[in-house]
Amino acid sequence: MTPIDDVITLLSLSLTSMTPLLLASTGEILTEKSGVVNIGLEGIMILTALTSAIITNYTGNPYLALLVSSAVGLAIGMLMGYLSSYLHSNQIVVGTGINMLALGIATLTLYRLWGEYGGSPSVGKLADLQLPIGNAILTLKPISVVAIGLAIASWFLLEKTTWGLRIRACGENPHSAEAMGVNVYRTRLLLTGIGGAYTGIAGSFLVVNWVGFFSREMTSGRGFVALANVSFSNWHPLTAILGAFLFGFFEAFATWLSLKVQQVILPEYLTFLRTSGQSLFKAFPYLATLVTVVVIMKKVKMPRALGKPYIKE
Amino acid sequence: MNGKVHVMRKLLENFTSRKREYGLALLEISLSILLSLTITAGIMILMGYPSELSLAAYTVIFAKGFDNASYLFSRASPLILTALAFLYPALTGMFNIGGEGQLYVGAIASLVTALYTGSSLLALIAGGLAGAALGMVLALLRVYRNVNEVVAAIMINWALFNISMFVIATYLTDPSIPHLTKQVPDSAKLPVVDLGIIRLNTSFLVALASAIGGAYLFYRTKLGFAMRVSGLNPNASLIAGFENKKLMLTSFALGGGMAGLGGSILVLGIVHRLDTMMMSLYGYGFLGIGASLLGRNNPVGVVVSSIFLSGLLIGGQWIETRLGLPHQVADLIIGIIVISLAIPFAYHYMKTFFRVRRK
Repeated sequence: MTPIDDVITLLSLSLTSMTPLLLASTGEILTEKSGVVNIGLEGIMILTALTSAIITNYTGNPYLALLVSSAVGLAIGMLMGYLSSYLHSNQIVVGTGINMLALGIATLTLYRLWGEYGGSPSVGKLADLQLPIGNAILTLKPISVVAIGLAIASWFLLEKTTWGLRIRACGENPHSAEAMGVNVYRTRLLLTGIGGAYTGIAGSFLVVNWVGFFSREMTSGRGFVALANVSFSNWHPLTAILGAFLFGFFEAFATWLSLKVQQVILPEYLTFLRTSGQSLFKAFPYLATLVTVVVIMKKVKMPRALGKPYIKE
Repeated sequence: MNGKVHVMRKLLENFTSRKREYGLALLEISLSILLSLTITAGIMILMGYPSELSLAAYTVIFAKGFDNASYLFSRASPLILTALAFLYPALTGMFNIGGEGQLYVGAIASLVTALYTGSSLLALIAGGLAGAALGMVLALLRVYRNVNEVVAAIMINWALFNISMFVIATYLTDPSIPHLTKQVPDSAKLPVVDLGIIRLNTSFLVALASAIGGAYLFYRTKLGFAMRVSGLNPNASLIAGFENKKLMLTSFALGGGMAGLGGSILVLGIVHRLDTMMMSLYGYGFLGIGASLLGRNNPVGVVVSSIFLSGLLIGGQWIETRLGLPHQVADLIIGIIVISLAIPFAYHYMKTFFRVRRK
């Protein structure tokens, strides 16, 4: 292994890890720009990853799985959007509820379909793109490219179109938006749905393009890292690409390092890293994410009406 | 004696004057529980479980979950405390999702203190302080760096889950049973008191005292009043001359302390040792959020709702052994209860709907 190989491996891993984060945070930016904060991303990811595993297992078609998963994401997002706009619910509480219920549904389904609690059988996956760079090979997941494309498209929608202006008005000042003739409830409902659909692709990606099976722990807080990325990127989809790459890199680095310590010769006092110390590597991405957000957070500006139910007069 | 009667009469008057309010709250809670049971049954039927199975499951859950009061109360004790951990910051207008991590540090701090000093009092204090310190971190980040406390708390929860695993596996395991830690020395265990009808775990008394203390603090003292005002309307609170930042820090430290104490009593009074997979610790913090919401963000309500949810969980374990269904059915029920509790407007809507029909 030359250093170049290591760099390419790390790059491939980072691009893979960044994909679900980028998809979910782009979706959440759209949602939050319209004034709804959806902390149920984690739950949506769990449910859509499960959906993908089921569909691919029974039809063998990962594309269908992607499609259905984004539809499921859309449906859960719409539910969240309906509760938080039309019914004025507390958004944090509904999100927490979605996260709780997702694990319950996932376990029940796993048990019902395959008779076990832990995970699904292996299913078919989309093929990776292999880009040779010198002697090394950069592995690129097709959905990573889609994710970056969606982020750019979302940026265009939000910042360059009239629709974008209307969406942002709902998040900044819903009363003025209503006066302008925008239907605030419907906009919030739709945008929360779209955010859910993006997150649905993220959940599906975990199964059909990365791991190849479903397990209950597979999302491991990614929905929340995506939320961290939303504030890190200052609610800007293009900056979110950078943020997702950074947070993806943290995760990739931890994975890479935990494998690396198994290969290299370690001094006596560091050998614990091969056994119990492996947990420390798992803790690293969360701490690094938190530190990054803490350092940057002071300067961001969130949509002014974010998280506040809009009540018509 | 006369004074006592006076206090009782005052309490009664207070209660009757709010009867409508309490009645409405009770109605909403019962509605969301019923709704949740119905939806859960629907989901199970949709998944292809036979329809009479969900009925059988509910029978087992409610019959077996609540029949052993001693076990029920001891199981509910840590949950009461993690629910209070969510409740106190919530009264000040903030979300403490970090109860899980705060419980971990509390449990580990207590275990270590108990192992070294053999004193249950010191161990309880250590656990509470460790949780409070961690709660303060979240509040400091929110107040001085504007970091969303929900995101920060989740990052800390996940990091601490792994770090605690490391600490337990590396420093605390019993050499003869490698997947368990050393046991809390007998001198530091919280005793179980036999009252004849019920074997009461002292842990429950600690939890109960914390809830009553919290109710007193928030509803009978100036500090508590200030915290509630700052939660309801930060601007009004500023104008009234309260220092919102200090109040936030106080309530978060208080909340963190509750979760830490929850970890303490779990170790000292109930499990007595931890395991390297953190099975005995995982989940109380998250469930505490549900318990607090179900308890209508009221310290006394929280005690009742924690006991109720613990009953559901115990019942969930019984359906696993009796009917071979996964115990996560209970998680599903709780998740839907939480979602439906978040819809005050729906109840409001229904109320007006019925009022219109009556006319």
